[in-house]
Amino acid sequence: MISAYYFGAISLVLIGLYAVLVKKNVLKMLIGLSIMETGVNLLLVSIGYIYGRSAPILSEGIGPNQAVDPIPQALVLTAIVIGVATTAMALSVAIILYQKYGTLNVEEIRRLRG
Amino acid sequence: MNVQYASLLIAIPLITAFFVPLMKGLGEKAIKTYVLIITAIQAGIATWVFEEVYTTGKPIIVMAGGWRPPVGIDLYIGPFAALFVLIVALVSFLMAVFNFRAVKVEPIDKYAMLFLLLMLGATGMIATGDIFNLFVFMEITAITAYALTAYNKTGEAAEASLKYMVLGGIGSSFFLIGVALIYGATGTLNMAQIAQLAGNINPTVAQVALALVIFGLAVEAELFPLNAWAPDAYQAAPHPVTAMFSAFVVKAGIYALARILYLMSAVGTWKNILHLLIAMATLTVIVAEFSALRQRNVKRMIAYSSVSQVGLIGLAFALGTQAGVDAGVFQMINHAIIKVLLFLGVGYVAVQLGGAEIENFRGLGKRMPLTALGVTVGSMSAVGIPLFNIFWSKLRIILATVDAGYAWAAALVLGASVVEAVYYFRLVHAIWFTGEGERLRESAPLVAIMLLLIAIIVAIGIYPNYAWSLSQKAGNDIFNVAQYIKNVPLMGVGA
Amino acid sequence: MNLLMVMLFAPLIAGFLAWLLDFKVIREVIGIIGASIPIGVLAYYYSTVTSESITYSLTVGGFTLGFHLTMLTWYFAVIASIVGIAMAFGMASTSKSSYDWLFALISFTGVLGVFLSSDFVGFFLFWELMTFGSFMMVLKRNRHESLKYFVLSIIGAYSMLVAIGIIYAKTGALDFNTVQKALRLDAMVGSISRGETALIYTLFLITFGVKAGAVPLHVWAPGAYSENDQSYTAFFSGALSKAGVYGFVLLYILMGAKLYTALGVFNNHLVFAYILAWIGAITVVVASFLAVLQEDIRKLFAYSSVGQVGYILLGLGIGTGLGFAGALFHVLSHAIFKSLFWLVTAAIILRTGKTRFEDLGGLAEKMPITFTMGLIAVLSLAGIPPMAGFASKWLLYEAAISAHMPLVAGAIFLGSGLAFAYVVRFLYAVWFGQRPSDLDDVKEAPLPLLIGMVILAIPNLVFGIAPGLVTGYFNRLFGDTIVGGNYFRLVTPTGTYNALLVTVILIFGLSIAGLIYIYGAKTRKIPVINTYQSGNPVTEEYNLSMRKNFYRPLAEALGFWLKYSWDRFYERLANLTEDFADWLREGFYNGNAQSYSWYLTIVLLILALWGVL
Repeated sequence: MISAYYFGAISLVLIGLYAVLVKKNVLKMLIGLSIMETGVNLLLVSIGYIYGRSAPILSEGIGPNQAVDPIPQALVLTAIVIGVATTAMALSVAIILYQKYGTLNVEEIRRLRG
Repeated sequence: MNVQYASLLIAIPLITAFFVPLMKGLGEKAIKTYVLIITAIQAGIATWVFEEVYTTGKPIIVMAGGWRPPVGIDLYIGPFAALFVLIVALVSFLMAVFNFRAVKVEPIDKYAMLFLLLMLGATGMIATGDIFNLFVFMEITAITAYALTAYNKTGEAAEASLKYMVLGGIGSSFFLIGVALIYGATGTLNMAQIAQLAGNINPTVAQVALALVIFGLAVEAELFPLNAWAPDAYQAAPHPVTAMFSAFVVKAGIYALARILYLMSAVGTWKNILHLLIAMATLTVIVAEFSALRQRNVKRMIAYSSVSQVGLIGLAFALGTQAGVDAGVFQMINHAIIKVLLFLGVGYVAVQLGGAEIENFRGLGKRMPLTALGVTVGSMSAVGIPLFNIFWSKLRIILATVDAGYAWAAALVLGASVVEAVYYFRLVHAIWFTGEGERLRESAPLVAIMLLLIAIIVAIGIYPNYAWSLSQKAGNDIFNVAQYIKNVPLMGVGA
Repeated sequence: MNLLMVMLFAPLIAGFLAWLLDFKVIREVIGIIGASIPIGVLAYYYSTVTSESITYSLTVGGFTLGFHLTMLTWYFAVIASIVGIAMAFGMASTSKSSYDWLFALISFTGVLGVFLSSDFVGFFLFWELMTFGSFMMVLKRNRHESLKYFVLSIIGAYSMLVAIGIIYAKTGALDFNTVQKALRLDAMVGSISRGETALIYTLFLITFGVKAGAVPLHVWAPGAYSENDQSYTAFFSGALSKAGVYGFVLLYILMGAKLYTALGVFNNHLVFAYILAWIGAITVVVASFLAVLQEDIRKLFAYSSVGQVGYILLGLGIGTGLGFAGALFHVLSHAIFKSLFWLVTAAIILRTGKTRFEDLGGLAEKMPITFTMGLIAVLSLAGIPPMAGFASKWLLYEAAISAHMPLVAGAIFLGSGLAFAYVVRFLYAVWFGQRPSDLDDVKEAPLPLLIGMVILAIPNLVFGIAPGLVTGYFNRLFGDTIVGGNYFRLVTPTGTYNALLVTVILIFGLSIAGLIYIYGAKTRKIPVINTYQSGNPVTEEYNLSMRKNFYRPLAEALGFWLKYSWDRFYERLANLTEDFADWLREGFYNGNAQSYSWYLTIVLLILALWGVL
């Protein structure tokens, strides 16, 4: 069961990587990056997941032994925030790129080279 | 004073950075002065921490919220971190002075905020004792670096930023996977505890995890072929930021790489990773030096040179010997000094004469003699001329490399250094022996900074004993993992 | 502060002060003072050094830099200091730039440091310093030539660094004493393999070969020597190139036994020495031929300098005590006569501004003292007694014969003939014959330059008439009588040379010739060209005179060989490297973010594959 999560997470990472490597449109590349991040986050959560346990929120009837590992979930929250920041940053750069180059084709955004 | 106040090193830039938008109405001068004051305070605290660590000889462990690691996240300010936090703060301070001249593009308040956050990120990466915390600081550094790269709002700047972001994004994703694997295998994120448990991890998992973490950090540390973003970002970023990239952002990355590498030295297949890193570092030096050879833009040329020298540091760290690590740290110090000098000089020329193309450097000796002197001394030092500081660290690295049995790597790296000599001396020739021009007035504070840096370069070149003893202590901090584990008061483990 | 350090760093500090206090006269005075201190200190130490060696050590950056003044290093240091002080006087006339003073004196300290260092770190440091100083002198005047020099030198220096690294890895030591002991021990044990020993030897051969200007690593020399302040070239060619020679001597001292056991013997000659001897012989022949064909005084002496250092390498390569004595003696005589030549050249260039033979002529009347100095240098270089140059060449010749190396001896002989050919041309084309009309108001060289020349001319005469002074010192140095005789007489197993007797006869003969000239000769006016053309009609395109294309027939005879040039070979190599750099840069950093992402993926794939395997 747990391997399904791993499989899904790795697939997401690979799909994201595929988009970055193959799609010529900058926006699609950035979407690829986001998918990759999602995959990584899923992987993190699934590492902390213990089959049959509930969310790590201390409440009635749920002690430390009934909950899954809380640390990966905390990590993922942080990683998501970071991911959002990166994406926002990237999109604003993409806007400038479109203004200055008139295109979002990555093969034409090559003024800095050599 | 209570050593826990060392946490101010993180707190002050973080808090003050978010106060910058409040000062928006006060004008450009006020904001720049504010940054200058904050960096000065930071430098003051860093000096105090440095004193404290080096006089007592004991690292400062700051425990967040009073929780002992591994439950609480700790800052580990050992000899290495103390030294480099100081360098980060001082370089930031000097660049804060340079800001007055070099940065004119609005919105200056955003710039100031990002500037402080960049300093914070690097400081955090160097000081942290927790691997996920390292990731967070790395991302803070990276995101501010992306933003600062794009800050000039030109097409080139956005393009460079995009490249940096795509590569940095891939790198940090895989870094995080590596961290996840390490956490899955050891159940901890504290570096000391990871080091303790590293030997017991399933070797395949450990190898994959370490490889991924190294991969992610190698993007930040500009190792070939993961460094393609670096020249573009260096060229497009505002001049003070370029100097900061070269002086400490990349250093933070390479330090993190070395730290994790040595923490995990108990892993069975560790040697293989070293071989891989040595190959990458050697290629970094070679490719970067050759790329710099016919560069028309001096800033870009020096960026390539910076990449190559960082490759040299990487090589030293990848040797897996004490001598190598010491030499690498020594090179880090020296390289930070000369690259600040070079990027300051080149940036100033670009500001005054409208661009860093080689044409602007013709006759510089007559137009801006003191700046020209600074660039010249920096160049000579970078080539490894005796009486300048890099000579000693390069010598150390080469001896350590051959001693560790990698004579071929040493030979290749030295071969590439010949190329370095050629392009630097072409620059020196262009500066002093070609072109004509009227003398321009040079800014007194910047000239003072350059003269100060020249004095330090020559002082280390003539009398490297003090800098070398610092490097040895700092190198020992990285290399001697057993001592590192012992220093961190882990809760419930071993105690 | 130790006196040894004072002597070592005096030129450096003086140079720095001269650079800072950039005022006329003051900077010259500081420079000359700085350059005179070493010879003073060395003279002071003379009596001490013959009985014991003087050592001193500094701890710098975790390394212990050792310095030692032994009989050998004293000898080399004295040569450098004599040339150095002559250079300083020369520069006081020819150079008006504080830049020149700074770097000239830096290289002076570098040379002294190379000779005095007793460990590899110091040796390497001063080696680089010396290269750097001399390089900056050329950089100011010609970028292309200077970079050629620097690239070759730095390849040499880095070869040495790798070799030092290997030695350090194998022996764990960097100071000469320990290394010597360890390598001598290893000669029996053999833990350093034959291949590694050969590698170390080759690396050092490149290092010292570049500095000494051995063919085929000599290509930097003509450019670097001529595109320079000629007073500095006196030091450059006279003293700095001797650092390479000293390196070879050091190689014998440190690794001789190891090289012998590892590389073995060929035809009763040590293989490693035999290689050196042949390099020397080839250098002598090639450089001398090229020197003969030059049309520019500076180029001529540059090639001549390369050739003369070839003699020294050849002497070292013979590998016998006599060979060493000859080589070391030639170090001295070459330093003094070649530096004298360069100072004379400096005077000519200073006063006329011309460097090509075709533009010069008849200067003997205008610059009589300079001419006399030039004559002394010519006699010494051509190996005419009673000059120092003869004594040393004679020793080399004796050494080659007694070591049964006839071909090598032949090279010495051929080289001497060629040397005669080119100095005759210098003598005639510059000093005699018709004076071009634009040189009618040329004045004698300025006083400081003349002082510099005299400083160099005196030892040429003294050690020529009393060569025993030098060989006696060698006997004490080797602790054995290599060359017998007294101050004026040299005795070797195969021959005897009495310098005093030769001098007396020579003076006697010259007096008779002088009397005949004064009382018997009748002058007859003829056009200059007549003497050469022998009555044949001369066409414009094949007009060979002493001043122009004199040796063109020789060049035509050698046409086949001259097609091949090391110089062009290196140029092509440099261009290829630059093209390769462009290809690499544009191929790798192609500007496409997506390609860059592929690089990352490829590394990931490599990591994955390597994880699986």
